[in-house]
Amino acid sequence: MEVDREFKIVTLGEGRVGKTSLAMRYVRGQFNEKEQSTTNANFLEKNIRINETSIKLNIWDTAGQERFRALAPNYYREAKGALLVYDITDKESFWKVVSWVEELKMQADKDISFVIAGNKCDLELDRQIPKEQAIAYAKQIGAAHYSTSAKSGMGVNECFEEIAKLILDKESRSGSPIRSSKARSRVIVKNQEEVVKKKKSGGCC
Amino acid sequence: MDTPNRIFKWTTILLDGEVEDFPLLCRLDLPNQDVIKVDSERTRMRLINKQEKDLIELLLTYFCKETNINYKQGMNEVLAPFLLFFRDGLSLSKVYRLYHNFVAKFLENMFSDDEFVILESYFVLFKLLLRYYDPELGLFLDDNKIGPELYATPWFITLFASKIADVEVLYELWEKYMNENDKLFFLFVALALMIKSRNSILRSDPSLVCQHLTELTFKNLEVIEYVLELSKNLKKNLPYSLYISLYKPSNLSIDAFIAQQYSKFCLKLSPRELILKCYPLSSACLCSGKCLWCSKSKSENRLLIFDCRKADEQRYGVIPNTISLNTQFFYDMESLRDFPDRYLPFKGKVHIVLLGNEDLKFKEYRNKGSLKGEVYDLKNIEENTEDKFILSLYIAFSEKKFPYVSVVDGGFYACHNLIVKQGLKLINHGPDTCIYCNPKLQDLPKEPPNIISGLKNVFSSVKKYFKKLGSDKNPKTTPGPSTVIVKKNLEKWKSDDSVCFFICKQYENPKNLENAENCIIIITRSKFLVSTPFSDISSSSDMAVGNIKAKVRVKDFMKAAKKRNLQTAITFYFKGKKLITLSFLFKSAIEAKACLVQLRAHFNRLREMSLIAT
Repeated sequence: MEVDREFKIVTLGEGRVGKTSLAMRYVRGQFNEKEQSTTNANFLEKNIRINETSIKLNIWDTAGQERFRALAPNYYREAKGALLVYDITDKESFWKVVSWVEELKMQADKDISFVIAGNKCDLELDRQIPKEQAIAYAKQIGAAHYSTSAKSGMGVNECFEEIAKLILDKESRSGSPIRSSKARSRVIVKNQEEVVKKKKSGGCC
Repeated sequence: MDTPNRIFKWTTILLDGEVEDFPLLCRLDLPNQDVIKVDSERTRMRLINKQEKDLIELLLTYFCKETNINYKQGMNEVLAPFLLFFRDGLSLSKVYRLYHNFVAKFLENMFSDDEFVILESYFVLFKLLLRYYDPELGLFLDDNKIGPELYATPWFITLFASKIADVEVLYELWEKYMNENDKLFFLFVALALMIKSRNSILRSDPSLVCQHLTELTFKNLEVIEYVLELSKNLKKNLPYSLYISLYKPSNLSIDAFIAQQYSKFCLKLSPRELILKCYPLSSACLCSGKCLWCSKSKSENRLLIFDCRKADEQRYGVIPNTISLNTQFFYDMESLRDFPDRYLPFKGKVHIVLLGNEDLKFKEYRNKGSLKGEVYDLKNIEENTEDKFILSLYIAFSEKKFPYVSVVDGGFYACHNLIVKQGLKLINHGPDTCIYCNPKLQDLPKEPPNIISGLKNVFSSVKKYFKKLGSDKNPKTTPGPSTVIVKKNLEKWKSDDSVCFFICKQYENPKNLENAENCIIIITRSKFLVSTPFSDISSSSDMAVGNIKAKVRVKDFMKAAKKRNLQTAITFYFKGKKLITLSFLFKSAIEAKACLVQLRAHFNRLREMSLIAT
């Protein structure tokens, strides 16, 4: 399948909120109650279509609990979108999302799009974070909020696709090309001079 | 091996006479207790039962309290294989001590700081080692901005435990690992694991490389045998001083240590080892031949040492058995990039060492993207500092896939001091005039550069090569305008976007690519020209800058054929009174393709204009 666009998305959030489960449910349609804790990162991909645009999502599912002082930026470098996950039955994990947002605003790509996922909605009875509070916060930072359950599958496709839509919207607003131009550039160094030739045509027989 | 035997062996290795059992009791009340609890529950879930999960939580909590370390994910994975011994009757306190001692011995400091700074420093080291052993793979990952932090964390902090599903396979690996008794051996094992799969990594789609790397594992005992054997060979093949520099306890603070690591772009050989190799007949060491250094100097690791100082630094003395090079030998970046080809027979057989004047002063290039990006924006090699020259040379060797390239720690200064101290002789060394012996002399006006006679022998082979390159510099101006390219033509082409240039080599005989000659292909809308390399173009506009070796019309293009097994070699066929064939060797397959695409684009344009009968 020809892909028009390719986006990198990171999942972030405290350990054990279900980042890997959400990503696995979305990409592979599976839920594994016995998901191992992520010590590193999982790298997944999924092709989707939004309106007429086919998109490849590269999902970098990161380890939650530990953050490396200098290395965390390597995970979200060049990410166009972030799925910030908290566990609705764990108040602390919501505050972690807030701190991630602050960090991303400072360090990540300026145009990064956020979606917040309140995961484990199948455990509604143990809810500790009122939904209204989470939605109000999401609104405040210009993000969308989804109630998800990796176990039941609720809201999973929607939250990932929302990220893709937000990224596309942002691009079309800022006027970036939807299809990257195939401009080629060629550099030849000869003697003491550098000649740069740019060819615009991408034609090839 | 059955479990009782294994338990016996492991307790012998790890417990060292600790036999007393003790009560393992503690409150489960750490600040991040819930994390420990959840992680205990999801450790080897298919294998560990409910009671054992509780024990994991207890032991992890006890460990954190006893060692005063905050719990970190990964500790649970290391504990699980030991806890399984409990099933076979090992007491809980012995299980705990095995775990405790294993972590202390083989994962020293890995978990001790909350920010994983130690781990970070291993990542830097690993990157340098990877480039040392497999520059192609190293640069490939570098280009794609894939650092070890993205794939190597579970290898390093759990010693592969979280990546090996079959616990029996893990036991085998750890048992062999412990035999090595080396706290940094995991670096070599990780290197070997990657090198084993290097071809499939290099062939991966860049967006899938990370995924591929995280899937590398030890599937069975054969893989363990193979990878560990390779790891040992890699370790053995490291020059001694590089090896001890890995293990040397550092008195720097962690932050300073990391900064120091980041400031390196490659491994550093110690002056001491260099001198032992350069003065094989004299007792370069003061120990009378009995120390570890001397015994290692007789190792089979051979060094090829390039003195990369400036010409006017080299004239104060050179170290015997080194090869002198400096920027003046290279008339452009291309010749520098191709320089390693001259040492092809030595590729992979010798360790290449680059000697600068003093220590290289590189700012850290962390988060700046790839190493190559740092240097290939250079326009003019002669404007480069010596450091950049060495970096360029390092990259040239790496790009030609030469493994084992390092620089000398402290450069010539450090070597000079050691040589003088030990009473050894430098070639052409005059202690009275030497700027290294008399640092004050450095501030005096310098004599005009002059290559001294003693150096000439060393240079002769190098010079011959550059003479050959230089012979193209002054094309004959006598032939008529059709056989030379004059400066104004070139200027016109350069300002015309439709004209493209490709630097490559032309060859006649496909069996003898060694004799291919440097040339430049010029493709205009209607012509395909092959020129000798351009010479100095600073003089008048009628001055010839290159000779035309071949000239054909784009519309006569018939077909092109790639050489089998060599993507960089293309033969072009053109119509004429006789069939014209022109064969070229490009620097890369991409370049070759780009040239072909360009020619075809012009050809098609002409065809669309109906100038060519279809």
